[in-house]
Amino acid sequence: MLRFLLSAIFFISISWVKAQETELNKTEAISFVNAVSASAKKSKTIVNTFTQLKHIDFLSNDIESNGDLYFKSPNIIKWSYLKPYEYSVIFKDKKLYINDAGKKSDINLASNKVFKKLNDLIAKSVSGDMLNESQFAMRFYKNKRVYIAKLSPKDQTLKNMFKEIVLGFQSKSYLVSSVKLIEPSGDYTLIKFKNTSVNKPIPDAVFVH
Amino acid sequence: MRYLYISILLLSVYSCKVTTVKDYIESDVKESDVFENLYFASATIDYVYKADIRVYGNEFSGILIIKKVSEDKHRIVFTSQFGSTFFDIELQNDSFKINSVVEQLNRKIILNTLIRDFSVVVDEKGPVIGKYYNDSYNVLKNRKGKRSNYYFYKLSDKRLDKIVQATKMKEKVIVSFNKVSDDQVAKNIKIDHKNIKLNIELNFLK
Repeated sequence: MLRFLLSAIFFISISWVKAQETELNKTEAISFVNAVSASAKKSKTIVNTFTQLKHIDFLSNDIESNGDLYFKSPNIIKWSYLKPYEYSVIFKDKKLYINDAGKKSDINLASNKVFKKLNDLIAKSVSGDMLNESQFAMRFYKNKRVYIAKLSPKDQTLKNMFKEIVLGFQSKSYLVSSVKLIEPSGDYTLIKFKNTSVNKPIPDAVFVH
Repeated sequence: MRYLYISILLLSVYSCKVTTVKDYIESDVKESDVFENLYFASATIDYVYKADIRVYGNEFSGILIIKKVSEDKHRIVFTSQFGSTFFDIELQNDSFKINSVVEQLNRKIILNTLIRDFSVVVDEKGPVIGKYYNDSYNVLKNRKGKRSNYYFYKLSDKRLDKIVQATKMKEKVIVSFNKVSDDQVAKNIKIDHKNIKLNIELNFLK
């Protein structure tokens, strides 16, 4: 009896959680995409702090990293990791500049299809501009506090890397608040943004390699 | 003439031992002798390292995760700082399974080398076919296919300090375990290849 009760509670709570997330209808979806697009166009710069969790099924704990993110329209981006070790990458001028605890290197994005795709993906996820892309099949949802966009890549290069990309948006500002990159195996990387400030000038020095 | 053959033979037998345990004193192997490597033996620890791989002038950096997933199986995953996976392999006894590997690393020679290296790193125990010692080390020799692994234990604290993998003629790989904590975690591990330009350095992250 107790077991039955427990499983009943379990199933009820699952459906309750599901009920929190409702899919947008066509009209709602169009107005949501427009709102995100308008917000992205207005965002000339974005600065925030991020926490990144790498979830691998067989590990006891997720691997946590954190740092600062700088975005300058249309596609300059710097991820500055502070933990677990200092590491930064700058996507700029079709190159990927890496600073690994003082060791500097760069990768030419024009000659590296995977990194180029990744760069476009990241720039567009951060700004929210991605929702106008035709290379994803998209569905939109809403719960109490956030909008959710679930993107399935159509492109084979991206498909090999990610099964699905889930973007969370703050419901008032339409700014991206989280990015979840789900690999074909089901393991994922979840990045959450905090302390977001928009259109504050970023010193050029930030993007110097 | 026969003496010449014998001396050449003796000389070459002698030189077999030369490379790794030269100047060491050989002792008798007992049936109960086993080598032990406990650096990846706990199933409850997530072994998470920052990995720097230098291969023929190219450098890769990322996060290397080693986890003992069952009694005789280790899972080894190398990911970028961003979280995308470079490779994901499973080692079980002397066999392996590749769960995924990026295009750039998907070459037989690279994969074989990585699998051989990490097999040495995680192999927990096995039979001993030779025993040597000097003032600083006890050395146990184990055979793996065409190669031998020499396990160097410090006399002072009995901990495993390095493993040297060698053929009959040459040393191929040296794995050294440094900055070992009380719970048997090597905070720094170096894997240096002698015949190819491949070096791996691991630094523990938690």
